[in-house]
Amino acid sequence: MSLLALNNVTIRFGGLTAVGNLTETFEQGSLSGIIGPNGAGKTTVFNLITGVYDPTEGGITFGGRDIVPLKPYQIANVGIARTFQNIRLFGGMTVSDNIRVAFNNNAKSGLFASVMQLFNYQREEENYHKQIDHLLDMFGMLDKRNEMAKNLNYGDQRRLEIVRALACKPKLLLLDEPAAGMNPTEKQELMKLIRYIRDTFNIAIILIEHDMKVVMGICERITVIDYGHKIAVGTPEEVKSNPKVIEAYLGEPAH
Amino acid sequence: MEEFLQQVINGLSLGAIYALIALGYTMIYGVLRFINFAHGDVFMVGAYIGFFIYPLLSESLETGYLTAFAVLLAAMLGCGLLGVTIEFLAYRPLRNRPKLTVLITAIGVSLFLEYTGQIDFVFGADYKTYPTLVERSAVLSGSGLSLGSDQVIVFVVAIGLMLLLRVIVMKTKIGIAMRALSMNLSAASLMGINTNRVISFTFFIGSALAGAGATLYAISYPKINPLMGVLPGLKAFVAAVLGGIGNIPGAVFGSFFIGTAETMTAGYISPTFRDAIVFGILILILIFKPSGLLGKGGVEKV
Repeated sequence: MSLLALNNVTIRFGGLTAVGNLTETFEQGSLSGIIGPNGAGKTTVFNLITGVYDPTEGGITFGGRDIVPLKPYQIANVGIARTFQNIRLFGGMTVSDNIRVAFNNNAKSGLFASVMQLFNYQREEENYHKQIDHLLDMFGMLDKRNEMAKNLNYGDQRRLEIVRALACKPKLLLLDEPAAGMNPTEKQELMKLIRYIRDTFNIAIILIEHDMKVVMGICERITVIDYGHKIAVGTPEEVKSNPKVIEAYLGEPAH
Repeated sequence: MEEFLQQVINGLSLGAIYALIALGYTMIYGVLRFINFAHGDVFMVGAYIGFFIYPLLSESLETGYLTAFAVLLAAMLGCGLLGVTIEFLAYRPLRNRPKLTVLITAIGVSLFLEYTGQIDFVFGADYKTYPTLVERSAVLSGSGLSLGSDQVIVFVVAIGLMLLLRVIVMKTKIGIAMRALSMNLSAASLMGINTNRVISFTFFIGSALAGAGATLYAISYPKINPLMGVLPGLKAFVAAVLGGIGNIPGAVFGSFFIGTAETMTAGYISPTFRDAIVFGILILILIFKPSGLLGKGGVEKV
């Protein structure tokens, strides 16, 4: 069974069909990419998966479970985490508190539970901090744990977003243009990082990316969408030589 | 000099009460970005909860201080639940509507509480005398300064609650979630935070602090009526704006500033001007530093 399945997903905003009849599956532990020209509806697909939008038609299942009726926070709790195209860290909080927010997930955070929490507060807190430090250490950011997120440099902010998403303990990680604004060296590092995450945490990753080197370099399977419709799917080589894809990116050839 | 110190003492004890109210405004603004204009009326209800529950409690509890403490807790709990109910019934259905809609609803809720309260079989429109929770005795006397035990209690309780709030906001799971929400609501929900629950919790805490403020206010000014929340509510709002709305330390600072400014004006100029000075400060702050003294100069993105 596929980890994530989109079944004829359509969303319309007024008269505009942002995503139309999209059917696609993503497997456990796979590393996939979604590409397409600007405005093709890639981020909308992520927003549909994470529950920010509800599809006008069609269904989305995660691990066999229908997730369309779930709210965004519930979808995060069943195991889908994401990063954002425009960085959305909690700027006024420290690096470690940013990650701490994501750990909230796995715990009850109701009024009563919070009051009760005060009693074994110390133990729980130590436990969290160990986990936070462990994660930060893996990504070489341990020395920045007490810095404000807004004071980090751009690359570190992107990295922190990924670490924060991982703290949600996802089975599926969605990365929205992780390479945006990075220089070639940083992109190389990012590619290594993404592979490392997939192998270490054994999770599925879907990324939206404009940078073809990055996408072609790491994705095992690529879905191409244009005007909200899937126009091709396959390995990087297959996609690269697909005439429809070339047309979508470069325009129709002259006759 | 003594006169001056006396006004500082009076100002700080008044400011401590404003702070408890202002915290509610600023916390709710922090997570939802709107001013809960019904907050002053939640404060008023807090005073009435104390008024009605005191006879019941004073019979079963022996010592005066224990009763006072129980009344304080009852007012906090009652107001907290009222705040959560208001949010659930009035504001939550409007969550995705323009902020102006919610703001006008808040004014509606405020008027609803004020005028329902005036119905005879609810609270009644006339003034009632709040029970004497603590006997007033002079802690300091002789030197020309007067410091009543009530003022000391007001100050100690208010500071204690503010410290407790700080621990909740900075250290607990729900507090971290609150801060995350105030910085980026959508990102917080995508990180698995149940935003509605955190918002309810914020209303509970904010309103409970108003309930505590009401109890302390009524200890100092024991005449209560259904419109008593209007002016303290507005002044606490001014204090929150002065400190920078959405900023918790700012609200506390602003409240002490407003409280002191008010008593100084009453003492040195004329008691008639005490309200005018507060709203004068509001006008000045809105002209010269709209983001507040401790607020960040936030430019609204369009």
